[in-house]
Amino acid sequence: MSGTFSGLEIIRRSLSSYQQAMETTQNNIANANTEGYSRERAVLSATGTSLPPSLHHEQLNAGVMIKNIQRMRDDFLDPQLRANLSEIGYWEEQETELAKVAFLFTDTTSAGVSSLLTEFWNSWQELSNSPQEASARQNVAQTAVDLTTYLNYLTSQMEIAHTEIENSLTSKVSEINQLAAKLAAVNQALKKCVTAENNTLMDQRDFLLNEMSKLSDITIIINDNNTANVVVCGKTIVEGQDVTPLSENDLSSGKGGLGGLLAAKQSVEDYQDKMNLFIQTLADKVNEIHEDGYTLNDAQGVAFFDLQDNAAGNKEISVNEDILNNPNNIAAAKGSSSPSDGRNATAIADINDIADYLELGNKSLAGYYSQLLTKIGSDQSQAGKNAETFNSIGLQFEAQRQSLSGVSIDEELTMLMQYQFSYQALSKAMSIFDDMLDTLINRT
Amino acid sequence: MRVTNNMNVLNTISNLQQSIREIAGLQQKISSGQKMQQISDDPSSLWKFFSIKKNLACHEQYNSNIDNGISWLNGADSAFGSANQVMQSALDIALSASNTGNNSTDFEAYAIKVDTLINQLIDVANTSVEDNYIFSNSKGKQPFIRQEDMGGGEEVIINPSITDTIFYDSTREILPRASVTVSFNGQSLFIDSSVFTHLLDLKDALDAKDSSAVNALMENLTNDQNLFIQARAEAGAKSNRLEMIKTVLENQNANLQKSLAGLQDTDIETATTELASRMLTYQATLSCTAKVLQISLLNFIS
Repeated sequence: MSGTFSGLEIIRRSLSSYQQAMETTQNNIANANTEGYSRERAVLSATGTSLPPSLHHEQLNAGVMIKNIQRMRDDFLDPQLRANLSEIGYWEEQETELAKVAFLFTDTTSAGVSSLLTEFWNSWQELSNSPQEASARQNVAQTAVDLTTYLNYLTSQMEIAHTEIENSLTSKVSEINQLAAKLAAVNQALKKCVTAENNTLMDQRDFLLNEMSKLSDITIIINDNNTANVVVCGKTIVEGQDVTPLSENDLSSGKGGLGGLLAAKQSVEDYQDKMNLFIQTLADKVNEIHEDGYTLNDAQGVAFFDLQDNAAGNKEISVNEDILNNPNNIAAAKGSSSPSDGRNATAIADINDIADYLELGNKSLAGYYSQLLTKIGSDQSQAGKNAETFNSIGLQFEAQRQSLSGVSIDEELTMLMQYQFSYQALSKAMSIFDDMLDTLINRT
Repeated sequence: MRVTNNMNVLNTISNLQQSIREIAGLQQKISSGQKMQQISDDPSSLWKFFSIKKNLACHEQYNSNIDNGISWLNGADSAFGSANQVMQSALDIALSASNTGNNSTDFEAYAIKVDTLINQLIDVANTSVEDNYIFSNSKGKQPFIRQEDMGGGEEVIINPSITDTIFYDSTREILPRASVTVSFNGQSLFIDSSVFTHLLDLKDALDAKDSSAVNALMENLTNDQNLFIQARAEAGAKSNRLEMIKTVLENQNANLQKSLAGLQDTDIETATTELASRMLTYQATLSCTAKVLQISLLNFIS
């Protein structure tokens, strides 16, 4: 048998449960646009007591209560989503950095090394036609200066690109360390938590883990108390509330923004090596023939190009000062005391047609250069395409995540109305009960 | 699948970005007329692109080499033409002189004419093209021969300052690593052939008013004339060959330009059609987004 006032108790409990349910809905609406927020749902459950069977057989109903506030999240989707974030970070960083290098090569729209190189060879042809013309000699010197200036410009710009990547690496490493520190703080809070699950802290934890996944393909270990440990490149950087900062020396190839930067750095170094080899071969081949010839003043030819290693270990090419000061020092003649002999100039111009230099992997100079450009171009375009692909996969994952964890305002409003009606109905029940008690107590 | 507000917004933003990116790309391609804006736009065609560019630039140079070669050959051609005329006049004089009785006064006039002819032939041997004496070979800035009194009477000799010259063929590259010789060996034509010795001999015979001596010289003079005729034929043939290669190069250039245009030029018709369709999509997305995002339960509850 139920007590006289047990009805009041049912209503009181239920009213407070619905109030809490409405608060959950309101909280969802408020956080509809919060990044990393997972929708929460108040799980209502009927309460009742079954008194010991020896006394009574009926069940006592005690209204409704909030069993728990459920965090709507698919824990199995998260690893997939994070792996994809690492891929996006990897390719996007590569594309950004490689684009800076690819932009340097303007060969397809305006002048570049390819056209300057052809002009250079053509100037030798012109010289071979009229070896005694001062203008033809001046032209060879000028096109050579144009070519070397541009080559040196490319070398220095690639060095700048390389330095920028290194700077990005440093800042990204400190970024991941900052995230690690934040995660450790969240871990500490989670550890102190009285309740087994703290939705807000777990959202924060997952958000930080996502951010870290963008930077590297991290390994995540979720402990029983919901704290997370993080391993980057084989090094545990977060363990509970302890942080061991990542340093640049710990980095090894992998995915994520850091992996992308490392890959871009390696690519740029590869381009630099190829560029150096190109410059070296160009200078060697021209010098070799030039030194065999005779100048207008009937002297043996000097080295046409000067090569030097700059501070960063890359090749810096310049035209021999003697030639710049006096173009008559260009050795156009093959035979001595033959000012009208242009055969050596022809031999130098013919370098353009030699298609099987062993140093360049059986390629011509121009062929080697265009192969380098094809590599740079396709590296960037591949990175861009992959970034696009993984971004669109990411959209799908995000849609799936949103589908479960995202807030739909219309839905929340509907729930709010539903709870509101229940609340109103309970209030009505309360006033009816009040009437009933009034009759019972005051009028009998 | 449950659809949430954020999903709509995220999808819309991503789609709008994609559309506007494509529109910007197309607009860039159309306004610049070039579809290869960066080397990453079409890396697989770069190889072809560069090889065509290189060929075009080389052909331009070969054309210039050929023009230069043709002017040398034309110079040689007119030189040999004049030499032929000189020899013909000398033969005419010799023929007339050999039919004239000894000691005729005509011999003096003939001798003066032959003297002029010798000077004419010296001028021919010193023919220059673009400031280069074409028969002086590797010392092209200096005249080839001169007439001097070497003690034993007048003689025509090679300019002493170029006697140390090793003769080689002056060539013009007309195709990759293929050259055509545009020079003629002046030494063998004018010196080794002894043409001047023969003319001077003729003059001596005329001075001596010896018609039989003149007659004996005619065979040599005919041989000399034949040498020049042969050389002229060779110059003409080479010149023709160069003209022909020039035509071939021009035809190739037309084809290369066409391939290059296919690689780097925007196909305006396709691009504008594509742009129109992209813009339609973009506008439709905008209008549909504006409508969809407005729908909310909030509009209906009070």
